Amino acid sequence: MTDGGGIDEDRSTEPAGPAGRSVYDRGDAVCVIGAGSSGLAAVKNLREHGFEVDCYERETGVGGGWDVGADRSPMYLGLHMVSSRPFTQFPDFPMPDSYPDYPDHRRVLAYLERYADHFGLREHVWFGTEVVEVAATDGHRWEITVRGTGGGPSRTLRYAAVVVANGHLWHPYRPEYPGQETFTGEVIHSAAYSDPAQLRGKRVLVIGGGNSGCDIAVAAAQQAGTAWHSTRHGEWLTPKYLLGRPADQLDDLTRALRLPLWARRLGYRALLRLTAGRPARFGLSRPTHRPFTAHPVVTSQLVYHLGHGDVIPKPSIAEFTSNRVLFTDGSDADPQLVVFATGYRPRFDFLAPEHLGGDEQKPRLYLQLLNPKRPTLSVAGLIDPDSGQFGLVHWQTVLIARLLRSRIESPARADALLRRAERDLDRRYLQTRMAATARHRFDVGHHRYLAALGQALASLERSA
Amino acid sequence: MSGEVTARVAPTRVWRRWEWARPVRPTTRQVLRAAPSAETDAPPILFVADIHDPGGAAALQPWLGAAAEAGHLAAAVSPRGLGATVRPGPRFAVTRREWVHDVVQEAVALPRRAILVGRGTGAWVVAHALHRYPAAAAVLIDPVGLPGRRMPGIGALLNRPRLGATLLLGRDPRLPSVSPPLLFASADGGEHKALSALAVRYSAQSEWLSAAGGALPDPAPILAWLGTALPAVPAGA
Ligand SMILES: Cc1cc2nc3c(=O)[nH]c(=O)nc-3n(C[C@H](O)[C@H](O)[C@H](O)COP(=O)(O)OP(=O)(O)OC[C@H]3O[C@@H](n4cnc5c(N)ncnc54)[C@H](O)[C@@H]3O)c2cc1C
Ligand SMILES: NC(=O)c1ccc[n+]([C@@H]2O[C@H](COP(=O)([O-])OP(=O)(O)OC[C@H]3O[C@@H](n4cnc5c(N)ncnc54)[C@H](OP(=O)(O)O)[C@@H]3O)[C@@H](O)[C@H]2O)c1
Repeated sequence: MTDGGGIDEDRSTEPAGPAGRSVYDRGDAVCVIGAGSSGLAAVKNLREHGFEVDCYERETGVGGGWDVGADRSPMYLGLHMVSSRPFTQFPDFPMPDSYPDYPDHRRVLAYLERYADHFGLREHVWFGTEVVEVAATDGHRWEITVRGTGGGPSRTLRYAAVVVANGHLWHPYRPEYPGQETFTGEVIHSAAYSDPAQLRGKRVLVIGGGNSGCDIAVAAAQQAGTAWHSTRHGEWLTPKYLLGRPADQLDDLTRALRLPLWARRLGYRALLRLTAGRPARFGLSRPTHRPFTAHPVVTSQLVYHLGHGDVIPKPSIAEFTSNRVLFTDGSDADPQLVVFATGYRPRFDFLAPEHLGGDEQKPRLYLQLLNPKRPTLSVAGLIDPDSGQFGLVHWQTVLIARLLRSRIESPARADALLRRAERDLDRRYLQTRMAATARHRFDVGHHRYLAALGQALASLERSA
Repeated sequence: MSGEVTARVAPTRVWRRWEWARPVRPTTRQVLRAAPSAETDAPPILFVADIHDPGGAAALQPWLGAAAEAGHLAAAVSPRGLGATVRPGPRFAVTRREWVHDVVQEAVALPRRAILVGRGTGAWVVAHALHRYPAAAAVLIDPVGLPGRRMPGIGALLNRPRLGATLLLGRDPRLPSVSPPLLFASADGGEHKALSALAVRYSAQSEWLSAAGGALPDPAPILAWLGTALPAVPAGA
């Protein structure tokens, strides 16, 4: 269709940046930051709504985190999805029937690459180009400064709108423990774990009971000499299959049949008790929170390896000494390698936090994507769903594209949506109250969240 | 009638609870393909067979050839239960959802954004598939299951009662809010009025095809229309 030329010389109108820099005005074009799954969906849906798009990606390929080979990827060899296919895929680009219920990272990357090729998205992406600054200008337009990751001069371009899709799972969060600086063993974050071979033959301690922690504990059970797994509280460990179908599909079946939450909880507890049994039997603590009040942790293998003695469960860490780790129950371990699977925090180095309506850690965004005061800036993918990511982000980016279209074609409708956005700024879209930790700040329940997205879309669609 | 009528657009459906709770069971589909002799920029075409096509997609072989000659990578699919595509479980229980799934699966398997061309019940499925796949363009040939033209024939209905019920009583397909160029085509001279009414209703265009006594119509007018409707298709290539 159109060429994706973003930095063409002939586009350079009015060299009039603040400090005399030349600014290339890209007219009505929209800038997308990142070509992971969220950025790709943004490019596709903006193109479908008639926008010119320049997407900047600092890596050399599409796929974001799913490209395990990329240095910054938080993912690792052997990773399989925790969300089954119908939840994970883009709704208008289903994964092939030949894929298994839970594809691995290679299949997911291949899928994202096919998505990019099928819809001709690569021609709109500038690879190896990092966005270093996003600055607001008059009239809701944005000046974007980009630089080649290989070095070279930076350039500034002006866009009508920006979609930030930089991913929120690559900046590690690492708690500090007393004595940690004296510890002589190796300490890494799960972001730096990319291959089970890193664990081979070693004495390994894994900290954190999220999906990364459980996956790495399982890998350690299979590869390491000794494996300890420290968690600070009990989790509901959902197996990948329940009653012969992917657990998330079973859960959604109970919702489609309109069972109330209490009945679903009851059924879920009963099923787990009947199949896996009591957590204490495996040395795990009992979850103190009710089912569905925390981001789902999905693992079939952890319990299996606990039962085989390949993983030794441990409570929280009290302190580190030079060669040991002491736990709160008085026991200790002498790991050679400690893996902190303690999660990630969002980061927007290129953007002043006030544009996100709050600070970096606690943005205040309508539907977790839009600051109504800055209607031409949106964030795609800043969610941690209880289902899969791509499906929800697809609708996020459709909404973003429609809102930008409406601002041109029917401003009254766009304004009405922004008023609603003001009103609903602090609404969360969860099926129930979540455990109040930083880890769950971006959680959304897919039913509630999609219902709200659907409403917002409908308000823009209503025939004139 | 004037061209001023605006087509009814369906609200976007983001909630697909049955899709999540009970996804369509995978199957291996019969797909026939034809490739142009040289690479071109023309979008690929997916043909969808009618319930009456003997051998399903195999009946559309001549279209594949014509499309390939016009520079399109072409594929023809038999939705499950037709031709050589097996429906897991009893054949008579096949549903529209399964057929739409089959069409979308094969559309996304093509290397680029595809044009969907359906005939008879295939056209009906394509009309519904437009809500599930952002096609480059769509062509509905002798459609059934649309307002004014519901009957696919008694035999076909009795064979697949669930599908038949949806065909007869189901909701009319409406346009998705972002809808591709759309063409209605017919080889049945007696259907002129019904077809132009449909074209108006869907803000689409219409074409008449020539066919000798029930044979597969000549797709030349369709391919010519695609050339004009899709700006990206370079002439000749
Ligand atoms: C271990 C792990 C397992 C997961 N498993 C699942 C799962 O089973 N199911 C599921 O649905 N989700 C899962 N996820 C969530 C996953 O993050 C999402 O599926 C999805 O990949 C997020 O895509 P994204 O595009 O938002 O972010 P990312 O994939 O992180 O992509 C962001 C892109 O932006 C680029 N970028 C960032 N900053 C800049 C800049 N300044 N300039 C230019 N480019 C920039 C990055 O290079 C990157 O390519 C998992 C995540 C992790 C960490
Ligand atoms: N297989 C997969 O598909 C897969 C694999 C990995 C990750 N993911 C996804 O990627 C995202 C990130 O997952 P993640 O597991 O890396 O991170 P996470 O979900 O944030 O989990 C972090 C874990 O570390 C614990 N933790 C945090 N701070 C701690 C502290 N100070 N001391 C002790 N423990 C602490 C947390 O416990 P608390 O609960 O007490 O805070 C939690 O158990 C999630 O969306 C997840 O679903 C998917």
